[in-house]
Amino acid sequence: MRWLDNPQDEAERWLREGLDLQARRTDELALRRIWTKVSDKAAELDLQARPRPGVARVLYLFAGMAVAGGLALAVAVLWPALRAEELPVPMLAAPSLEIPGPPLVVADPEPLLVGPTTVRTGPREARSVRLKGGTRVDLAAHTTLAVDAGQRPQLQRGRVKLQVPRQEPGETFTVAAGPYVIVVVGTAFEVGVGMGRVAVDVREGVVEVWRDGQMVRLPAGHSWQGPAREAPRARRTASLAAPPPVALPPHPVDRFLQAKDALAAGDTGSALEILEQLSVGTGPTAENSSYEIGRVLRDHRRQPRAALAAWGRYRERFPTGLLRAETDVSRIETFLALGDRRAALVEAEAFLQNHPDSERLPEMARLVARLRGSGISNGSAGQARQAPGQSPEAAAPGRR
Amino acid sequence: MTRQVSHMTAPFPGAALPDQELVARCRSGDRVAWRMLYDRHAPLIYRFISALGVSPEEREDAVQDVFVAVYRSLESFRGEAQLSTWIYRIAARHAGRMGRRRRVRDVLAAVLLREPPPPPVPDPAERAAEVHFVDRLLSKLSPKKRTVLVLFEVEGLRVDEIARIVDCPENTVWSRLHHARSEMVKMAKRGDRIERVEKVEKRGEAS
Repeated sequence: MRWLDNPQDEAERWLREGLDLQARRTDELALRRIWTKVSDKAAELDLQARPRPGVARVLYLFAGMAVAGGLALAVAVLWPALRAEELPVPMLAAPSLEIPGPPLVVADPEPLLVGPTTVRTGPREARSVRLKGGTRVDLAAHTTLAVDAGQRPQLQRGRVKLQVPRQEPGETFTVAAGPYVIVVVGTAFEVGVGMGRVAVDVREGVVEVWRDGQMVRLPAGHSWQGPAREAPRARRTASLAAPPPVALPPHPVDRFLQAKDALAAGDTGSALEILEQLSVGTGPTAENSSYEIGRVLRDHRRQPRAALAAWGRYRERFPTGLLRAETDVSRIETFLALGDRRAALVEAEAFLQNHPDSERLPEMARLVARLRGSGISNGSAGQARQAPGQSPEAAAPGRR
Repeated sequence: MTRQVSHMTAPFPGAALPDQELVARCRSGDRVAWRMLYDRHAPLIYRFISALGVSPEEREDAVQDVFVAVYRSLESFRGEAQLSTWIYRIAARHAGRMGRRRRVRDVLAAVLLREPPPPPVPDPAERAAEVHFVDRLLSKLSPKKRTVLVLFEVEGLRVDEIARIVDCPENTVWSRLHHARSEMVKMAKRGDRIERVEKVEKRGEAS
């Protein structure tokens, strides 16, 4: 029996439930972002681990200690600014783009931002700006937003809230954040249908999903799935009284954790089944699950070819998806493990073209140099330029 | 010592590889093993860092720093304790340093700028009022009690493991845990009840 398993009152019940929910706290997208930076840092450390230890490290350590001692107070005071300069990290909270809490200081009321330009907010400052096309951007404190000459915004640090007006057919609004590109098609929610399920992801506002006089209300940042076996009849009840709410199905995060639990228990079949269900539709959960299927196939079922196919499907469904760069890297790693260095070279070269701003770029550039240096070629004299949504195989001349 | 880097080794290791073997493979430059080690422990450390009160804005940096430190120090891991215990220890120390820096900043800001410290920012990714509620109560515990309570109640570690992580005798761990629990229950039943009621009412309005 655990502490507070038999709560005496509501306060104790809240405590126990809060602690249990803490134990299930996770952020898969954050973990992937962190991995990107950790992996690249590890590669840097590997390069630095070449000879000249000993004296060089001792001197560095001594100098570091002297500097640290002298500047300790200044560093403590200036810490936020220092961190900001050395780590231009995207801090986009997933899945919601909402800023927590009210702004402390509001500066100029929504000036029009015309690129190329960069706007920054200070430690206790919030700003609102407008972009060409009518998108409103609310910047939280400690935020840096760049807009390039093509008027494309890039979040370099901090948090923003975006309100995107309806786009013309075929037009999309995008915002880059680190290695990711967030695509908005001018609506506040996304809907997907497939594999017998209907999925809804809400970015902004509130969406209601109706069926047979019953309704589920989804606020921003929430996702929902339901069976598509019977066509939902979106009729409203004649009564003015609110319809009885339908109990929300398990949150996708909980389902994702169930998949992880199944994996930890060695039940890859159940894990894959859950991930397949979650991968329906669009949105961060669907993308994350689609990517994870490949990981399970490669690392747990030891089926690297099946993993490559799964990641190929991810690329077809989400050509500019949140995990496109991660997917490309995973394919490269898998080809290397299979000994197919030519395919790895093709993929790595495509990575350099498709992800010029990726933090994995230096690592991939080193890999390309190493593979070329070992006599591997990509197999074609005139390498076709690969379109962003295209797979390297499709881009290479002479291949089907 | 030059670390030989190879990106991959074959065959692909399965999920059943014990930590010791993962560490050995990481030391030999196996990137897949390093990824598996990260996947196995990063979610725990992310959760742990969150429960220790590191703000959402600093959380990713904190976890990154921990795993870079792990990678740097893999050669020195002797296997006397579990790998997870060792990583928790690194994370606890790092979170402690961050907490001390934040408190120094807040004190300096209060003294120099005459501004009160900013209130803790709720994590927008958290959807449950209970989590916010517990976060607020945890923020009122001393760092030592908070660390012990989180390791025991949230991370589910044994007292002997916690003693290794926080580097104190097991009796001290039990004592801190007892006091932490008492304080949490007192705060939960006392003025924080008002906040609980308000959260429940707001949740009812939204549904």
